[in-house]
Amino acid sequence: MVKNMVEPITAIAAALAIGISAIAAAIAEKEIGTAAVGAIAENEDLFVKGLIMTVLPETIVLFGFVIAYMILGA
Amino acid sequence: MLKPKKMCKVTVAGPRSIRDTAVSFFYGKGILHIDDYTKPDNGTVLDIGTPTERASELSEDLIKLRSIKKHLNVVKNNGGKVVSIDRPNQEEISAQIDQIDAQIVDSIDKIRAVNDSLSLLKAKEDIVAPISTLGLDWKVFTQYDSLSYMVGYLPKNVDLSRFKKELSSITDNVEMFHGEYMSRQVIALFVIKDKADETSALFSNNSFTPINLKCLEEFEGKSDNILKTIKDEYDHLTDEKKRLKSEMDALGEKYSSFIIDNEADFSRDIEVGEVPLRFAESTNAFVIEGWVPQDDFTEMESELRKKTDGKIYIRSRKAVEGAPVELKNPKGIKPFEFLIDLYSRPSYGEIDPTFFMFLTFPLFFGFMLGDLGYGLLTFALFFIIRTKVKVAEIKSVLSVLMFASFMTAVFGIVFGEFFGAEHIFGYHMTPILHRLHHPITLLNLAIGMGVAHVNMGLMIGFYNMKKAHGLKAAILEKASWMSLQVGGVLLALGNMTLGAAIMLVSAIMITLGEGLKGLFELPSIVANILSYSRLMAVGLASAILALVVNEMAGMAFSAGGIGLIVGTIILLAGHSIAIFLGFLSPFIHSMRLHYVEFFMKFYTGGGQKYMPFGRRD
Repeated sequence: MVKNMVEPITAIAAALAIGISAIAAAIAEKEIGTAAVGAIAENEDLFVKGLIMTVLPETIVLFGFVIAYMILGA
Repeated sequence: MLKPKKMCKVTVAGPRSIRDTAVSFFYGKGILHIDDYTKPDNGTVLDIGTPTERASELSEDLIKLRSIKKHLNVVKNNGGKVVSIDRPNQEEISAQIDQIDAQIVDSIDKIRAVNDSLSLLKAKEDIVAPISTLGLDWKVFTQYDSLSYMVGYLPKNVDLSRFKKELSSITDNVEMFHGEYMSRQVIALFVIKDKADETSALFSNNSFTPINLKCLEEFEGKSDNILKTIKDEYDHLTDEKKRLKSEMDALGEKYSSFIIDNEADFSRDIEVGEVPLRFAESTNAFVIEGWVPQDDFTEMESELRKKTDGKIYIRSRKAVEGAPVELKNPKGIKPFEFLIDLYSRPSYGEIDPTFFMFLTFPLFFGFMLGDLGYGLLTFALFFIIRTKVKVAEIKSVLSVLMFASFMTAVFGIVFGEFFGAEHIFGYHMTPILHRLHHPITLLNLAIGMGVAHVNMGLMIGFYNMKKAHGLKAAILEKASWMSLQVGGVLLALGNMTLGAAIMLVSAIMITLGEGLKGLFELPSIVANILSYSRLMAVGLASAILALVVNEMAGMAFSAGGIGLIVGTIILLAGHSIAIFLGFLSPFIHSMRLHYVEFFMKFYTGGGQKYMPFGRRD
């Protein structure tokens, strides 16, 4: 694995890549999630649509995750 | 399997004299999905049909029957026997319903009266019981010329000797009785009328709560005896209530099958009687429009002609779109239809993705959780729960989960994990791919699965598009995305000119097919594929969670003594949490990969569910 081989600055870079993208996704999901719960309270049939919309921004974290891996692996 | 059942559109018309024959025929067949008729605004002789008179009569009886059912607490279903639609003895049944109703109304009134008396007695007891602790005769509570009295509670923290002292400073012409009830001080005070105001001021300063005796003037004798009379009456009424209740229960027992059978019959008859509201009628004729599975049409047609002596017009057309959709899948795959319906039913004519869901949903799920122990344990658990539940939808979910558990066990063997450990009771499992040691391989695998999945979606989309809008549209809108990926791969491999050229051509094709919107969405294909890296990320997280639980338990065990107990608790609780999270998050993520990344490539949905008139589930 990559243990013991990483420069500290690289590790910080990787942490920032995933950390900041996670915060970004969280902010996006917060907004969508609130709206989705409101909509579901009005009409339960919207559950799946709401769920899908809510998890859409997760991809942002995954970008960060992949970049973090690329930074560590390089 | 990949296509919904083939339907054909049917129009049935005939004279009104045979309307009810046709309706009961369709009801018996249970294959006609009726298209609801809406009357157009301008000139037509066709109106919405009128329900039979019987239907409205029956509705009234049904309401009565349901109220009886509720009051008698009838829930038991002893298999409603089927009674023919034209029952000759409907009058008799109505009469019997009225009779049961009258009996019940009587009992309900009695029970209500008893309940009222009981609560009144309870209130009286609440007044008499504290006073009886004073040991006085009830007759002292009467009108006096020169005396005034008050009865009530003093808070517990009021010191009685101090209170008495203060009292004697007001007057000596006073008599106080004192008792204790439910850890509160009960006081009865008789005082000369002149001093009554002063004493009551003293009382209210000490937060005295008076007891109102006005309503109890009917009683006489020792308060102990009064209390006993109240209690006796209370017991008597309680017995009476029990008796009435058991009478009701007996009625419920006696009529339960009558109620259940007739309720089922009535709702069935009402459904049949009211169905004309869903089709068109003129003064002398009726027209029903609807959908029938193509395979059943010929048989239905000849039977209906025979039933109506040929006095009917039947026409069928091949369904193109807008037909109701009945999914057609083998038994093992059927539970996955639930996941499809959760999103939206396929529209008629497009590919039913249930089979693909069956292939990849458990695969993704297992890839994420991947633990032999978790897989086997949850498989057994879901199997047991599945035998206990009766609701069809929950059964489907559990079947889906069982497939997921199975794949979890399979991937557990691949990753060599058993409850997070690498050995089963001392026997070492050799992993084919160690998740923690080779995360990059895992990531590549996940991305590879993504490429396969997304392109599978594009291929289905190609088929759907070709069917609906022709080959050109299919190539421009679907195949272009595939060639774009090929170009990208060539570019990455170093073949700059060819790769860039292919990508450029693909981009032009996408723009032609989907417009500018498509051009802006070019990067989305990368996002879609990268999205599958979650398969690896969620997987690693679940593997590490299990590992952490084991390590914590291991530390506790090595401490010995009480550590053994703590370790066991950590193991049980930790793995329970890990399994719970391990099911929640892979389920949602696997669902998302299908709904967002996969379905967006081809799925239209919005199909109408096939609900034939008269189908009994």
